[in-house]
Amino acid sequence: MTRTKQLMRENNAFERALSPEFNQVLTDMVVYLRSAPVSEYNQELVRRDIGRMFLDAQRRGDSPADVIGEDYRQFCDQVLAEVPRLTVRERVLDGLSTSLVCLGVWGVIWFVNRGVLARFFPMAIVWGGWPEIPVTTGDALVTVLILAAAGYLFHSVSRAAFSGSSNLLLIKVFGALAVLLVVGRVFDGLLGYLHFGVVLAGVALCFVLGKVLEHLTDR
Amino acid sequence: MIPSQLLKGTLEGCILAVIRKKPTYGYEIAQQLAAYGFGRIAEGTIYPLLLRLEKNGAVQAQLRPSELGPQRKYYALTERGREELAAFMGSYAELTQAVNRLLADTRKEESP
Repeated sequence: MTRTKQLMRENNAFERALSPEFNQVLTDMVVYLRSAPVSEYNQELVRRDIGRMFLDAQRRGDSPADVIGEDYRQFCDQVLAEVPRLTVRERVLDGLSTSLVCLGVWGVIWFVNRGVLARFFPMAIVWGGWPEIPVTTGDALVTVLILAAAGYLFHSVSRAAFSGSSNLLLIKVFGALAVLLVVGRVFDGLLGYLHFGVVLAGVALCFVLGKVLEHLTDR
Repeated sequence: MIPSQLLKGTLEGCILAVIRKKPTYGYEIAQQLAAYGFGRIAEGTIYPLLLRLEKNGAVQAQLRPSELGPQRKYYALTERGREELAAFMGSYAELTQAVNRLLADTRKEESP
């Protein structure tokens, strides 16, 4: 386990002692911090510090506003200004790590959606060989779009952490889903076939590389 | 109540002065500053400054157990912090002397 995951686990356990009021504010702050160009480890360190401040304040009978003032976003920006920024290289590696894991997850979903487990596995057993899976232009486009949409929505959710309104966000989510559905249906031209083993290895490679990069960027 | 704009440039040095007495944590620093007449300063105002001081090597942080609840982050002055505090005290003395001279003149001119 990386030290970031370890700290994250400790923070999760620790925050159970916070009241819903403090928890809500801390959650909003963490969501806001997530898209900042600072390492996940530093985000967790800040989360730990604020969590401890909040728990102390809760015991004294203070409110979150007593501890950090009324403008939570301004407080977060002031804190972020003092936390070391990621270099361009670290940001690229960080983005690549996240993208690879997302691609792996999408690969599994695509597998299930294509009926690989339900259709191709029995075929493989009956025919005694691994099948070739058809890939359409829509599959390729949706894969690219889904990664882009996930990144965009993640950023939108994070930036809107203190806005209180989730209507615009819902519109964006459903809009992205609609576009993906349409693209998947419209572009149904066959691009080629991928061997079952190649797809399986690709998905596994995405997870492994993503996790290796996660360890390399764990600071 | 001291206006926050006036306080801005001096708070970092004042925090170093509080920490110089003994290693302490955010809330206690706020309490100490209030006791010296700074008024109520939220812990959230102090925390980013402590992060900056830590980043610059002026203070060193350490988690210590607390009798009431979670571990607290205690800040202690480093050698660099002592130098920064000495520099702040020198600059602040210059500033107060200059302001005092100016205000004394202003008072003289205003008195009939």
